[in-house]
Amino acid sequence: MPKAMILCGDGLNCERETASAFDAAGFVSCITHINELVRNPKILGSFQAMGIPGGFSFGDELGSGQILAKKLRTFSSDELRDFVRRGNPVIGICNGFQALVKLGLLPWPDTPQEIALAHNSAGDFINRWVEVEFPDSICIWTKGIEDDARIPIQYPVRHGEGRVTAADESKVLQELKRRRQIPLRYRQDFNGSMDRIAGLCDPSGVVFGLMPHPEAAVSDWLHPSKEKGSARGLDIFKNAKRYVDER
Amino acid sequence: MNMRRIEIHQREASASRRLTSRWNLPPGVTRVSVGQVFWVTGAAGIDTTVLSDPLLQTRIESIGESVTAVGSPPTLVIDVRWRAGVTDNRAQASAEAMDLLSTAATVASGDVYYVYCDDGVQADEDLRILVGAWARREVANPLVQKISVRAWGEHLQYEIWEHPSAPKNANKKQIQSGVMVESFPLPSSMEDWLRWSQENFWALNRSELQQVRDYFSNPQVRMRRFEVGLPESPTDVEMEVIAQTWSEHCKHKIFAAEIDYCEAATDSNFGGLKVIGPLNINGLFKSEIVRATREVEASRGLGWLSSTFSDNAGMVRFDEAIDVSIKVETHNSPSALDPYGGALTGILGVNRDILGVGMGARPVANTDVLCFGLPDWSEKQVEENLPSGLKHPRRIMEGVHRGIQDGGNKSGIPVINGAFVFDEGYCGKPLVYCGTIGVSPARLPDGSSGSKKRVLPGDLVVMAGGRVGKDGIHGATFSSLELNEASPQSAVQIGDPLTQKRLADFILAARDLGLYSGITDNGAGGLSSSVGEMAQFTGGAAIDASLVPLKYSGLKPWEIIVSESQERMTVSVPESRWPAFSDLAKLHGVEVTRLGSFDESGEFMIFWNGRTVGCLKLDFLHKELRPMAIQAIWSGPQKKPEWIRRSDKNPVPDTTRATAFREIARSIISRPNVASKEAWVRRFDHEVQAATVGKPFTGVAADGPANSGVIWLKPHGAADPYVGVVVSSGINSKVAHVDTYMSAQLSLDEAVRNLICSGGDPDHTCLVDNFCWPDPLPGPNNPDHAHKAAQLVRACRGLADTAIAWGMPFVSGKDSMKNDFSGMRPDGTRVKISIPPTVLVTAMAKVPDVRKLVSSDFKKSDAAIYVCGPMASWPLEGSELCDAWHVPEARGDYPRFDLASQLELYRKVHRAIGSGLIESCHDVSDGGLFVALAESAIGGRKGAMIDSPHVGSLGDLFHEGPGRLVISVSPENEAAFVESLGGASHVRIGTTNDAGALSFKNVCEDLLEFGVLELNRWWKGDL
Repeated sequence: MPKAMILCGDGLNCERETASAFDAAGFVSCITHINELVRNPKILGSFQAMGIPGGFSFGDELGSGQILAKKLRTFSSDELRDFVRRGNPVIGICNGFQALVKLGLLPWPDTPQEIALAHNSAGDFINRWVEVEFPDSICIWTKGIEDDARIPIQYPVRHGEGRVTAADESKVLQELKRRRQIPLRYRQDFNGSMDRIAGLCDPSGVVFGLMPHPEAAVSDWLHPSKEKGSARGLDIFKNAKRYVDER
Repeated sequence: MNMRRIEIHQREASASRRLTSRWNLPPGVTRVSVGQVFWVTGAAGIDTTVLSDPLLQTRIESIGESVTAVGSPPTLVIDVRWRAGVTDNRAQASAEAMDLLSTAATVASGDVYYVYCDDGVQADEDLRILVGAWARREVANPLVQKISVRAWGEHLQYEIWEHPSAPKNANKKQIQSGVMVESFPLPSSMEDWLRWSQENFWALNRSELQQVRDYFSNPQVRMRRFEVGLPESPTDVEMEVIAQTWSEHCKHKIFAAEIDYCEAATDSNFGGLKVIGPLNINGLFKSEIVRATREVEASRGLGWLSSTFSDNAGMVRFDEAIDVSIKVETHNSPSALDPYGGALTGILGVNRDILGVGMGARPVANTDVLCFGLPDWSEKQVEENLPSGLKHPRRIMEGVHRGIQDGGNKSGIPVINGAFVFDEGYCGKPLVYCGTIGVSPARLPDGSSGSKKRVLPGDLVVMAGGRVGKDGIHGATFSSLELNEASPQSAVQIGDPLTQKRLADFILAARDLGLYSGITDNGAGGLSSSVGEMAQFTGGAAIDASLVPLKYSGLKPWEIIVSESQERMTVSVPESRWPAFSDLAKLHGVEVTRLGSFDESGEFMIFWNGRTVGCLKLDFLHKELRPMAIQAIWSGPQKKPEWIRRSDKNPVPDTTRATAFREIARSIISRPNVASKEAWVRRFDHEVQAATVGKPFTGVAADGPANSGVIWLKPHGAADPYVGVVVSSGINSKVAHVDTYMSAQLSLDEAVRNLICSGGDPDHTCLVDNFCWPDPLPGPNNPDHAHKAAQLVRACRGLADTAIAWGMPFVSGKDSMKNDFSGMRPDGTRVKISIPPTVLVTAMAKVPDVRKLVSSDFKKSDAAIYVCGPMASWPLEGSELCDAWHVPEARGDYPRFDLASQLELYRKVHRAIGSGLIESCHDVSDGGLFVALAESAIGGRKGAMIDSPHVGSLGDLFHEGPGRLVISVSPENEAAFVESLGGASHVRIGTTNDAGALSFKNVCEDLLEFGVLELNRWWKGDL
């Protein structure tokens, strides 16, 4: 079975549920402390997937994901880039998404940072379930997830800094759309994000960052409706498994 | 080394617009924008790019840049810096980042507010005073921050921008002191002893000081002191250890006291209230609370109480694989002084209790119950009536809320249950109840018990986590004193969630690897308490205070020993495990330090650089304190004490007409105690860890209130795939002035009812009691102390009687006894504000199957609506209705609350839920039946027609008597439901529908009708 590295430590806090979701999808997950990775980034070589979970790395001081991204970049930049270049799927959820953007893995590698995740338009942290949609994209994580407006898929969001913004929004948006790098949108405006973007992928489709928490929507009784089949978070992780199996 | 000042502003104007709209700006001020400031001292080439995001933020690094970046300059600049020694999380993270990514640096941080004014407003002294007062009120707290207001020109000065010594940084601050340890000559007269105690904030009374004197005059003690090289009289280290250990906060002396209780009035005066006296009580804790638990345990043969009252939290076996632990604490005094820091450290503190229970448990959920003064004081009312030294209740609420938010969210622990309670009696001290639920494996990986510590002689005393500073010195003794204008500032501290999160991750990893033998948290009393308590396992401990890592140098040994600096655990580590333990700590970025070892000496020995500075017998510290004697005389029901009435109440209008009734209903549903708290609660993460099955809000639009929070336990290691734990709370201080036996019983009933509603099993329920009381001891400013003491006795008895009748054991509890404020009104008159005696009961029960949870919202139309529980009318005294309106004859005789039939009802409802017969279930509490029905209707966006003769009067709809549930049942299940209730009291009051309105047929002359959306609008209001 493919192995997935799930980062933990320095204030991240969703590693256990993220690991469970990977496990349920057929991976063998390994919760790995950030310091283990930065001490010896070569260990990435024995993994086939990676998850950077949600949380408050470094207490969100200096901006969410800021210090974590710099730490990962300083000590394991080459290995991470190599991991992605070899086509291994990477997911960053919430704080993980924020880190991937600041790390320069999203949306375009090796280019100056063009997007940022700013404070929600209402200013505050908020926890609620939101309806999402899955536009046509190259993302391997969302491939084939059916997008039924009558029974919309809902994921929980829990963040204060999740509004996707760019210095030149229209240019960036055009490029993201042209390359089909927007795999996830909110159905209704929730935090002021440009074009209601909830998640982005890289130009190859293997790196996926998103603000909602699919790992917290894997059991129907965790879903507000409690209805059978309502929890659709696992679809995302199963896609990654299928992708890894088919490579 | 050079010092750089870097100022960072958001590029987007929306951030400043948002803040501006939130604040109540002083007249003439149009806009305020806020920036962050960093003072970085380090090597010349240090890389500071980590401090900002180039896309979102601009940086200003010199006076020149400042001028060009700002464009049109602000009129004034407010400069806010942390006072020396106060935790500065932003600076700490920045320093860590720069050290990691570039080179070592010292960092301090602050905020800068640009204040823009109307054209023509001058930056004169008047404006500066006005803006300064505003800043102290709204954006900063002078107790922990230094606030300066400068004109723009002044701000652009060399001293502020480039002066090498600015700012005063805690890390650089040298607190110089010559003599490290002082020895006190023993005072000769008792009066001198008492003065001595007061001057040092020891809060020791006459009898305790006598015991101290006796101890130090004991010949054996003298001989021992000679042997170890200590002077005859106590050192400051020793006196501080004694004072902290014996503080009310740590020792619960009032709950251990011998109490002589009687009732001043005769039975006939009490209107149905319980007569319990006269009584001679040998410790309320032992004779009421623990007795209740032991009786329940024995009579029911409970096998699931893993640990009660003896550890940092109560522990209950839920499942063959796991124990669930629970603890609720209060952090009232710190929250009064610094609401944000007080609440933050409150939540982090109770998290550590869970981390330190048994061999360590994982915190999986938080609860918070917060009591404040009414939040709607106008500025004018504040000016005229609020005593100096007190904060606007709304500011306290905002600060506390933000503290709870950061404490929970940044630790990755969901807030699943809580309440906001408002009463003017909480203006002097807010009550901040913070609870945590933990889960630990019944057996650790090596097969040993997860609930038993096993400290052995020779094990190392290890401190893990944050460093020690002057913060929080005397917290334990301070909270044992009344709050007044001169309360010590050192008791205030800010928490550091990042350090604690790392510590928690590390501890749980170390536990599973078997790297330690015992653990406890450092809370009140600091090392003096934590090491002192753990020393009892082996019968002794010796530590060297000079080994303790410090935030800054210059602390005296006694300060190090009693400092309550946060985010620390004390761990006993077998010598052989130390290398692995410290390696793992390093991986997790956690500092661990060996301070000494546990032994069997019978003493707590403290060294300083190898020299003995303290030697105290453990038995003296922990066992020999003589109980105090308290007199308790109950004077019967009283009028509700009011230190302030801000507006007079209107007489309740004639309710035969629907329009008048609607006006009343609207006033009740929008009252702070009733109104929706969604806007506040959604800022707490309530489902991190992905196990929250019972969330705070429910219904089709997820805005109906939930009865309780439910956690699914499989993700936390339960063997059963569907078992869950439900946690709920009950709090009632509204009728405490009438009778605390009753108010305590109502609290307990409300807590239990809330968990029954969700599917909790009444036969697998445990309880946690938290008493917050006004001072029940004699004092110059406390004429009715004996009544307050009697109220305490009655509350304990009310809880014990109910718990025993229902077979529900208490597993943990806490008390906070000095919730009084004394000070000066603006007009110079003295005022004392005491909280109403307040009992919070937190209840926790097993949910057999989380897939069968029931929520409060109506699910479908044509469902039958039942009220189950006692139907007799209950006096309106203390209800929301009576708080809002003048109601004649609100007081009356209280019907008996039949505990046995109530338990039967709860069992039957629980079984009906298990059989899937119930669509919705909601408890009746604040605002009575009307509010319960309205909330179920709002949650489900369903209408209802209420047409029962049992719902016909104002009293029927608004009384807040105990025991009632509003249940809706599908027509096809109705017969089975009624049958399942058997003889339990129930009434069918109406039917749900799709008409979009909640209607009452028999209340007014005409049809009384409320649109469901209209109710929702009123309920959401603008709290």
